[in-house]
Amino acid sequence: MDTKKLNVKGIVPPESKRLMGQKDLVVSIRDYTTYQFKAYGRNSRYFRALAEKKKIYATSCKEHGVFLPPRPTCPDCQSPNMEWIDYTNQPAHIKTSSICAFAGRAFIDEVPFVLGFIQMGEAKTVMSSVVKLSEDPAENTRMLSKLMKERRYLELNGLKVEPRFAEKPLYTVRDLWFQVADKNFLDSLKETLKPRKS
Amino acid sequence: MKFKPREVAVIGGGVIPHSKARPDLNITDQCVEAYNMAREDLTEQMGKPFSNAYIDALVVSYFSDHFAGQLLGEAMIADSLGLNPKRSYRAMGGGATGGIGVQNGYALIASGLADLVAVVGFEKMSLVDTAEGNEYIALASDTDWDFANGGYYTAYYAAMAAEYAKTFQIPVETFERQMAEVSVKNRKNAQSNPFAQTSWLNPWCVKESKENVTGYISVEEVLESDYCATPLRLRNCCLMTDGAAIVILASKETAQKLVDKPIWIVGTGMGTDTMRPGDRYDTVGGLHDYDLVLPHEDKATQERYTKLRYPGQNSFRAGRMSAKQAYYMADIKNPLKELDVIEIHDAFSSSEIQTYEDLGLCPYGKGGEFVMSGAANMDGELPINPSGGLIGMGHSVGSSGVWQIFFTYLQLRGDVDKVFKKWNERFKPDNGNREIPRPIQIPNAKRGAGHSHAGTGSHVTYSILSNVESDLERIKPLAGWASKLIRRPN
Repeated sequence: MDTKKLNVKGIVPPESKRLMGQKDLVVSIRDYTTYQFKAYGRNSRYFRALAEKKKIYATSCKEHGVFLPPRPTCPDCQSPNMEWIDYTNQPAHIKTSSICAFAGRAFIDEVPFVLGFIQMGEAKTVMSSVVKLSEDPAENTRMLSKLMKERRYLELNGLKVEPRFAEKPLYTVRDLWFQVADKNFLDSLKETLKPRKS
Repeated sequence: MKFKPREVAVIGGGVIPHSKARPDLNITDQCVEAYNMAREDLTEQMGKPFSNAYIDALVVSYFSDHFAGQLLGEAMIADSLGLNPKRSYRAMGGGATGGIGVQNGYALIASGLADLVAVVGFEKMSLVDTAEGNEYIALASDTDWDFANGGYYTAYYAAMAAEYAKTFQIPVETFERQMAEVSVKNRKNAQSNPFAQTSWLNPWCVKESKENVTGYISVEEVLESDYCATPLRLRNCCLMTDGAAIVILASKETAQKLVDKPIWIVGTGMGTDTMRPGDRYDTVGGLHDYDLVLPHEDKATQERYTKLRYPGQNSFRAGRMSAKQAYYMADIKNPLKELDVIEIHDAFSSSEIQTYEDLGLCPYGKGGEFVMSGAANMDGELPINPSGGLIGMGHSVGSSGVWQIFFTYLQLRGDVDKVFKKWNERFKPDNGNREIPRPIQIPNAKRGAGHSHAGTGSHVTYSILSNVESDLERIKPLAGWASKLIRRPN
């Protein structure tokens, strides 16, 4: 909540919708700004590789297969003997996805964006990640708007994608995103840029 | 060892008018207001004053310390209800918080720790704006891997809905139309409920808005509302709410001593799944592998399930687990025929469709056809969400699972119209002197259920109620159940 916009000290103005028209009630404002650290523990290895080597690492249990996001212990047998394997060049596709036209506070300025669940190689699990149709934000937005307007958004699912890595990593999952690699699909979204026959 | 839990009844309850904001009530006031409704109702039933002296223990359910701006709020609630120094604690599990609270109350009595338990749930979501609220809720997803990507709950459910549509090959137009039907149905039902956030009967409803947040809604209005996260549109989503609800549970002896119409809890089930929807394996034939086929599902359906990828991101395994347990415990052999009403956790209209299937009301993949057939309507084979559900009532997270049980209880007591009318009269003239548009009582309802759901199906509770006393004889304890679900290695 941006308390500055409210332009009051300690109390919301009587016309605020928060008061539901009850002007004699008090709703006061509490400044709750804070930041918090994040400890990745054994998964630090994943975030280091992502940020510093532009590599995607998965973990593998001899008995139970490959996990991405990596699991430092196997969720099936709880073995800590997991092998870290380079999964960067494994084939990747969107298993399922949603075009987010709304979001939580931290990401509200970035809408619309695609939250995809990415299947890589033989991993047993899928990893959530931002998916882009274009590196150009304006074009990306235009393409997503078209997919929503024409109700074609389900076409995203199944598309091949390629990993992209942040130039200035922040050691979060956002250091990685995926670019749709299906040229025909991307071309089908660019068509509207041509003038229509009247 | 032959073990039988003590029998437990719902004997009363209460709820407050839900609203986008209730600045007139703080969190303790919300709970006390719900309690006072329960007290009044119990006093009428008992013919003598009900008071907190009857209560042995209190379970408080609220989801978010963030929304409440208060940790250990349960201490304040117990204090406000005058229950110190009795046993009291908080039960919490995301969106299923209320359902978990009710099942905790059940367990306290069934195990012999108490004879009469109050379960009160609340949430106060109006203290932040919607984007902040979405962020608070999203903190109940994996903050390393999902939330940090911009994930929030509508998007997770949306991606699961998209996967569902793909798995069962439902065209996008058909799917959006089916989801709209759920919203329209639940909003229509809510119009008879003076406690529902979207009802004009509610003195605290939003009266002026460009968006259609109060009153009936049409299929077109749903389909014309903006996307929140494809395929979910604004009107496919429940609303954030200030609300509270309470149910009063009692052992059989206590219940029969106090009231004439105890409603029995005859089955409780609970299932879980991974926090991250992406971590759920796509197992071909998974329903068979996990022993999650329901006994009443026919051979052709069971055969089809051998090829079905399950659960992956298309269905809620926790919901199916809760149903399998609850039906076993309550000895329900055909839920569609034996149950008369269900309150389903419709945080999104997609999840109501998916839940029909988890609960075995129709085979997997047929949930959309189920709602389009009218089976879930008030005059259908099995009315779903006569209260309006989360879409109609608003999702007062910690209290949603509680009012589901309260409204189901009123249906089975046969008094829902009477209680709603009484309170609607009391809400005049602040509700514009409106009358209840149509009755919401399901005639001769005998058995009902409440389904409470957390995360993207990380926790699901399912509790079955009955007004047939002989159903108590049919209860089978889950301990000792010869199911693969609780099988131990030899």
